[in-house]
Amino acid sequence: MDVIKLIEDAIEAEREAVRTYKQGAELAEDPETRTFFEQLVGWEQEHERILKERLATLKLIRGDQS
Amino acid sequence: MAADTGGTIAAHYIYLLKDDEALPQLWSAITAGAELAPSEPFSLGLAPGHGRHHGHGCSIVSRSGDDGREVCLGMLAELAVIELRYRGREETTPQSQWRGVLESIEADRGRAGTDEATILGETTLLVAGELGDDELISAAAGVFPDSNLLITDIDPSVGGGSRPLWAYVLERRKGQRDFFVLAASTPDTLVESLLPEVDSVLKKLGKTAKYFAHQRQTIVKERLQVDKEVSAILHERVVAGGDTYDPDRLERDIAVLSRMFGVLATDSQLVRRAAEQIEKDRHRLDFALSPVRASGGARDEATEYFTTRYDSELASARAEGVNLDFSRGNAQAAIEVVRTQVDLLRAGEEAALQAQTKEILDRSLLLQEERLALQVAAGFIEFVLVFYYTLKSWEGVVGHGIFDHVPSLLRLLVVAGVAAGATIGTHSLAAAIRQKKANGGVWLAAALIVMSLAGLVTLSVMNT
Repeated sequence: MDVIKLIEDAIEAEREAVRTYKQGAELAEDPETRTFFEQLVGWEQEHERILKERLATLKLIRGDQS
Repeated sequence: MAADTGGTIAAHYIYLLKDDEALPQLWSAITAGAELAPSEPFSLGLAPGHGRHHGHGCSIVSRSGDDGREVCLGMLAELAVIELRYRGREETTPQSQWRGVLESIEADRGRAGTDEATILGETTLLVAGELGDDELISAAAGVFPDSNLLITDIDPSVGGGSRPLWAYVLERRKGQRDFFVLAASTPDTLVESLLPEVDSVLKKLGKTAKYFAHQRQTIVKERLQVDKEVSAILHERVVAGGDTYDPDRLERDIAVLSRMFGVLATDSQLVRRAAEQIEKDRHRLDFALSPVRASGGARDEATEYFTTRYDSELASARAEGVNLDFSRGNAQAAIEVVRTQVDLLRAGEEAALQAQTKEILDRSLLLQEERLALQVAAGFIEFVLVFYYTLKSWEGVVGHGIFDHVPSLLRLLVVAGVAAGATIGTHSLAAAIRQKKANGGVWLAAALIVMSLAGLVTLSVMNT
């Protein structure tokens, strides 16, 4: 499988995780659970950011090589 | 593009991939509410076929009349560049104009909702008319306190003015955003084409170098882990001994080492590719800088800074390639050690098998010799017994009178013939049964017995 497609799928998975954790944070009844989910949202958003940055760079390198 | 609202005082460049889905969104956000007007593409000022991109043309311009801001979308090879250009009023100082324009840039950036993960980089260029070194440093220090300027003298033919300067504001890097200041009386060529081209190469180089530096971090970790494991296996095999010749351990070690060798081979390929890419971009940077740099002992601090930085990245990539080759050599040597031990193990097993086979053959030979001796003894006994009973039987059948008249020598010959025939026949018959095939011995014995019995009968009749 092409690495670009893999990263795009991974970005989508991160977005889905963010949606899930945000929902978790909204549904959380105690502050500890809510902050935990918000922390997870932050981590997943950071992962998404890293993946998007790598994707852009890879496309740049690929575009240069083709 | 005509400078109809005063000189350019700042430009802000945002770089993205041409096919990035964020590009139309970003463009829409930045140009929202502005009047759009088509414009002639920018020219690089170089003859076609010179080998440059020739792609940076401003194909769409948004111009908002009151604040002197222009937005341009240009293309540089595979990159798209959104260029926000700000024009100031001549009556204020560069410093106060820059402060005002930096606020506008921040407002534009905020409106665009710049996604630093998607965009490939941003650069803010602050432009003044022709300033002397001290004036430029003083003006930049007012806007960027506690920062050093790395100054490069620009070739007057492209920079405008007698001594144009271009400086990188060191220590002001914000994320992926770089700051430059430019002192040139006629800066449009630089702002519109040459500096974006240099800057885009810098951005690309920065991105690829960062990407490969991250990859290298993982590769170094893998290499160190492989070195550790190879060292452990070699120590165990060569120094410690233990169950060195256990076939299962040997098999496992070969599998582990082969996997490590594979990891190092692919890592080596990645590092080589990284070095090639950085080197290619590094040449592009030199090429992009060539029309900008002034020659003949001029200062070249900014470009020197970038070339040194990426030369260092290149050297790191190459050094890692050498380290990987060295580690790969170690893994290969370890595989050879284990294979040698497998060969020794096999050779030892073969020697043991040969000794066992020789022992079996020796025993078999001894048994054969013993069997032959027994066969000879049995044959002799058989001969004696058959001889005796044939003689006695003959004497008993024909009686003493006839028997005694037969000459002794003839008696001996005839009876010996019968005994010999019986002995040979017995052994030949046994061999024929074993081989499931009649042999010459059977027929010889039969003939001998028949002839001897015939002689026996003839002699008996003749002496009756």
